[in-house]
Amino acid sequence: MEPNRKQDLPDAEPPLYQVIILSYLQEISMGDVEFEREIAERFLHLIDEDLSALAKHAQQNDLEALKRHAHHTLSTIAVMGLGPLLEKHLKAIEHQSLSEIEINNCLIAIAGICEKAKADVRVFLCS
Amino acid sequence: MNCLIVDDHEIARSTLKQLIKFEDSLTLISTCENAGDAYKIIAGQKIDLVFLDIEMPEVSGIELVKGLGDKRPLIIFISANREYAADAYDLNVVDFITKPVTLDRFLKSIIKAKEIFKNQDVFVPSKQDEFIFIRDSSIIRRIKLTDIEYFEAQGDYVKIGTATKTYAIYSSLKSVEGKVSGDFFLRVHRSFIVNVGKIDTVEGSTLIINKSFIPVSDAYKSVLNKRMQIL
Repeated sequence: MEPNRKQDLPDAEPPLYQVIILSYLQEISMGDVEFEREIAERFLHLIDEDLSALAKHAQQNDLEALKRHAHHTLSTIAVMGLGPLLEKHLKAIEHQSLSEIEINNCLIAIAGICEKAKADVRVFLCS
Repeated sequence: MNCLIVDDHEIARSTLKQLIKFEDSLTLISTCENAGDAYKIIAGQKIDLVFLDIEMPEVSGIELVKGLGDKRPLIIFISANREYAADAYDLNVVDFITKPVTLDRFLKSIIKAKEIFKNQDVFVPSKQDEFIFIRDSSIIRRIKLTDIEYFEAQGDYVKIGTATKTYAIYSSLKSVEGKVSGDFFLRVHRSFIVNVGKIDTVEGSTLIINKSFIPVSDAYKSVLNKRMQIL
């Protein structure tokens, strides 16, 4: 289940982003907005590559490559604070012996969250 | 300290690069994405500290460190998988950090690296030298080999025992063994090298040097007996 990221106060502002959390990026940028934007742009590019590679390896039933790429994707998603939402799926692919159906379910969940993350990042880049 | 980033992930390299900017004591010399390139850079340039990813294609960070041998820079391993921590620490590295690397964790690691760097042994004597140089806090100190009673492995450090004082250097016993003259010193245990000329007594599996009790492993007993030329 995805964590509830909405604030409890009824009159609180709606959260700006659906899934991304920028605290890590902002911590290491120390106010360097150019760095934040550069990383955000790279994220958009790399996450598409990662999703395509994961889907391709799953389709080809190349489990070793799939596991390796699941590990690689962890570094892509961490910078946007997506670890809490995606780590369980990526680590399941990397470390467990999942059935084809389970792998596909993980990939569907990952892709869904990443689509929301990409939309969030675009909002961030327009801000 | 001159440092190098080795990570096959573009964002991981960028975030480390950004973190290094916060630390004045670090000078980033280069970044690379695989162990092969890292090996060449380390061989060709003065690199003091390497931020090293573990899981990389072809050759892993752990394999790279094993391949570098004793004359290697300080290493900080960085990985998304905690399960590598034990293997990493077995290689006598400065630290193991899990991704994503936070500023706080990064700075703690750098403090540790700086401390070790400051205390590293700095001089490799030739086989003819009758002394070694060690870094002792902020000074480089000469110690006569004939004054040394024993070397003892203690985690990431080697303790040097003399009659008047003990010193600690950041090194491995294996590294020390390769540097000190064979005329004086002999390995008697996986954690001890002793100055044969300083041995007072040997009883069973223990030898005594100036009131220090030093264990002797079965594997080294016959070599020790031969070396002592017992009458």
